Amino acid sequence: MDDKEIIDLYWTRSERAIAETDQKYGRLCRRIAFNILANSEDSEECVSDTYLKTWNSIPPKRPNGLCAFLGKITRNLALNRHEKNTAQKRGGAGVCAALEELAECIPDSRTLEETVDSRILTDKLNLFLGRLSPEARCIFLRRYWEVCSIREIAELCRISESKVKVSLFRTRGKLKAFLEQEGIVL
Amino acid sequence: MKAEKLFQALGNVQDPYIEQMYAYRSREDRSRARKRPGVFLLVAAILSLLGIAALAAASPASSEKWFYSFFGESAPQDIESALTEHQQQILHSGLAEIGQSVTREGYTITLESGLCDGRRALIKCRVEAPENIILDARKYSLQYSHTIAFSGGVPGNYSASTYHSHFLEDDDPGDNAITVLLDIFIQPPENSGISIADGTVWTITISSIDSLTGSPGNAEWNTLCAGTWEYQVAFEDNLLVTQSQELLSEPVRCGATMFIDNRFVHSKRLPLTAKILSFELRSLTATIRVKRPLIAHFSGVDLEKPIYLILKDGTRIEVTYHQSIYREGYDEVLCLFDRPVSREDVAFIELPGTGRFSAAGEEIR
Repeated sequence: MDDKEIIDLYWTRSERAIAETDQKYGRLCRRIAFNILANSEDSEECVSDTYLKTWNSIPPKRPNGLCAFLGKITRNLALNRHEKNTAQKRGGAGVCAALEELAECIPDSRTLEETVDSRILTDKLNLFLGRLSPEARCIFLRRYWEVCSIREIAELCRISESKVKVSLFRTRGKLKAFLEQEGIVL
Repeated sequence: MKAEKLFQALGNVQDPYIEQMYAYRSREDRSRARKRPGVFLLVAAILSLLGIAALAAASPASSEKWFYSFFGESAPQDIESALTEHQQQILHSGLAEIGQSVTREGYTITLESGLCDGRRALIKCRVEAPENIILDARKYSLQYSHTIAFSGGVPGNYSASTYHSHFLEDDDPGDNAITVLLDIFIQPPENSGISIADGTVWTITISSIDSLTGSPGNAEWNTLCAGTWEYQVAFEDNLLVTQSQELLSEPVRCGATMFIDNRFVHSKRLPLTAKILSFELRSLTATIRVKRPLIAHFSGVDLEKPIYLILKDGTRIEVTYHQSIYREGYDEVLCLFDRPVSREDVAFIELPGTGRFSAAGEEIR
């Protein structure tokens, strides 16, 4: 079933919408949640919450496609749960590693003037992503959006692990230079 | 907290990027899917007609293989067949021997050879650790902390704006040596006349060798050795590699796009444009000078599509953004290609929302 038909099911308030969503995107949502939470039980609950939130969002929303729509909801819910878990000291080593790597991209605040809000930061990130090659963008987002491990990215993109590492290293350097250029302080 | 803010902001990037990520197939994967026995036989037949001498001329010397690996990020035989004759000439004639070794704390770093087009230098380095230390590129990556300074004819010093180390495949993961590639970029002050390929002596100082250890997804950097490895490097002018060519005879207006609330905003009633003042082509880089509309000071504005170089054989090469600096009234953008470019191979340049311009700077209607 294509995305438009599934979205139509949501609009007609058919409960089949959830089953069809799960069949088509359940695996994807579970992977996103598990990459962040590193816990099957928490991930399963997160995916259920994703479906509930999607059910409550459509209507009134009518997304163009479900892939990114569901992915974003899952990621946000998983991160919220991760924060809660971190406070309780359990799970989420993958996120910590990704965060440590991203810390390399933070410009030196002593050279810049004002702190940026998250909406502007997202605008800048969109601008930056648009300037990357499709492959570099895919690898970067797999690592820092979906929180995949290097090995998973290599398998998903069918490239070597060293190539993934090289690409991430380059892109982090470019992002740091870009944020400095744009005068972004985090 | 700062990295978390970046991580959170990444969660709201535009949907098309997420969809593209899931739909993405690597170049290798695509080429595997495209391969047809008939095409292979045709290529073999043409090569046999050209004769063995032609094959030998196209084959890279062993010292150039690292360069193929870097540019193609794929098997040397694949990228070799993808390079034009002029591109192969650039690799062949541009490669300069450096051959400088410095040993500190038992670690020897040798700058072996390099290629430079005046704005970008690629330098092959070999790192040898003491006998009892295994350097395995599959498990370790090496990172250099280094600075670039110029001397001799250049007033004061000037540091390269960014630099990277790229890691090649490790031939022998069980030994104490690894090969890395320094990738250095420079955007000198306006009208300074500074080039890094005119014989000017410049200094590279490496101050640490770091290793990336741990399991995938849980890696960390550790300093293997700190010290000062210093080198004096000079690349001579090489017309084939360092030639620069202006591709536009006059400024050209291109379609531009504005980003508001995470969306591309394209208004037919108020079309945005950016003025490309010049496009300076070199073998490894291009310098684009672009004047953005006033609104760019308040919101993100970028060209609506990438710029492409179209080669005479029909190959499209994306001109990829690398870094930019703001000059008085315009942005100077340094761009890269995924392979060396020969001016003779360029049929025209494709600018977004405007048209195609010949390599002589004339618009093609």
